[in-house]
Amino acid sequence: MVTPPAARGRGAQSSGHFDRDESGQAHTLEGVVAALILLSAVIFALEMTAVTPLSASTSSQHLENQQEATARGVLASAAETDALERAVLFWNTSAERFWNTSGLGYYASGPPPNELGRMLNRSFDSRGIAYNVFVVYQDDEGERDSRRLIYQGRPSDNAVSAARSVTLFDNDPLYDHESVATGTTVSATGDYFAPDASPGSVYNVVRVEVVVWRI
Amino acid sequence: MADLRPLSDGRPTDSRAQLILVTGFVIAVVLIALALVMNSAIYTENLATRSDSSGATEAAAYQRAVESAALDAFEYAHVVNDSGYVGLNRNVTDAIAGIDAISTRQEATHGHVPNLSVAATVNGTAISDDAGVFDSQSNADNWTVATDISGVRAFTIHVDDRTDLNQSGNREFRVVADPVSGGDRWTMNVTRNATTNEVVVGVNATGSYDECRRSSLKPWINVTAGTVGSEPCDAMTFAEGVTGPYTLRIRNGSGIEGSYSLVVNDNVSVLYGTAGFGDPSDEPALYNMTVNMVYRTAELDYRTEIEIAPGDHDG
Repeated sequence: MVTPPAARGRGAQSSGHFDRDESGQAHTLEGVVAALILLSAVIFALEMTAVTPLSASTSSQHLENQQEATARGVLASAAETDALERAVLFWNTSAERFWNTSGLGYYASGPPPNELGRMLNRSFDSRGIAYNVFVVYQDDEGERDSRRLIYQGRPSDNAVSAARSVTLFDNDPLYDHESVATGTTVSATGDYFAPDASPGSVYNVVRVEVVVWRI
Repeated sequence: MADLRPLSDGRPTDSRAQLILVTGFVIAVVLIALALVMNSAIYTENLATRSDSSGATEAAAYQRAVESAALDAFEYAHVVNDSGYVGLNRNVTDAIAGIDAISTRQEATHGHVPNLSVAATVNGTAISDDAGVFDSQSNADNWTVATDISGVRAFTIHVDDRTDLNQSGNREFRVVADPVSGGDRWTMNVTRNATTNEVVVGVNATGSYDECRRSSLKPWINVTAGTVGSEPCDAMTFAEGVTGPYTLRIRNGSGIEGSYSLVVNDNVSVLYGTAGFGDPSDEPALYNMTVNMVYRTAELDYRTEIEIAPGDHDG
């Protein structure tokens, strides 16, 4: 501790003793402050985090990749089992829209009542993921046109998409509301949304696009 | 900082300045190291989560879609067949051109440019019999189905009633693949076991015999797929052990009743002279088709050949 001066008025010499004693106290304080600064720096470094692509959030790149892979998987699986083609041909010729849809002509409140709808439901609905499904085809003028199959709203900025092409042939049948093939082929009716876009046996090539985002 | 001024006794404080410099240097190094560690972590995560941007995934998906469409086009070409090779070839070429035209336009909007074309087709002959015993057009019990062939696809046999089958050894129905240049034969016989009343499909390949038994009344035998009654038959691999071209024969055709169909890789004119629609019928058919597929993106030039031969085998 600091030693008090021995007597008053001892002049420069005693003042020199006093300075040396005071510097000891200052060193102690300095040490404490330095320790605090160092400790603060360590805590700051430990607490420091960066927002990386894998940081948990609804806009995580990792989540987007997973959703995209799931959408691709659903489409691939549906294409292999022909569920995708049946869903595209799930068409009510008299109402000129997909079966069991409202006047909008697309499914808004739930997935379509067919195998593709059940696959999408199992993959996305229970996990709080919204999706839109569009069917892109070639119209009478040879231009690219699109029709909504399922529309659940405007996608967020972090939406991802996957697509799969399905070739329709002139003899492909349309399906009734129970997904049973009817006697009407796609080329025999003039009420199907996509026209016969090819002179040969090919009727049209439709590209089914699924847009997925987290809500 | 304490005592930066000279001490009152006149001694300099050089050693403290050096200490400060060293400390500052150490802190700078630590900060740089921290920045490096953080940056490399972020960069690693960026790489780990970067999705495929070259279009390879899209190319694979497009190839699967083309395989499926080309198979449908191939089968549909035979449905609308005008009974000649020229018509069959035109059907498949037009269909692939149609798929190419529409899908190219669709893919191009995403920066991908595919191209499809029929590279080659192989003429074949579809041989089938709808009902009755498996004898030849001239009612011969032992006859040659096709000579000097190297491929058979979609060979199916439907046994109309197992009670019509002969028993083993008693003029049993046989299909024989006999190599033209000699060597091991491949033989399949279809009989009925009188005791168990099972359908027995026996295969003699590479000198060893094995068999499959089924209790179904009217089993389907898919010879090229190796199934009996819709279940795999491990013993049956068509033309196993046969090397080079072979002759396909039927022995004791009256030992079975039902229907069969197959496609062999040779022209109907070579095998039968003219197309005939008798019993059995022999019609022109395509044995297989090869489609060239090209898929280009800004970073990818993917080329592949897709072979379409429904029910093909490697024998």
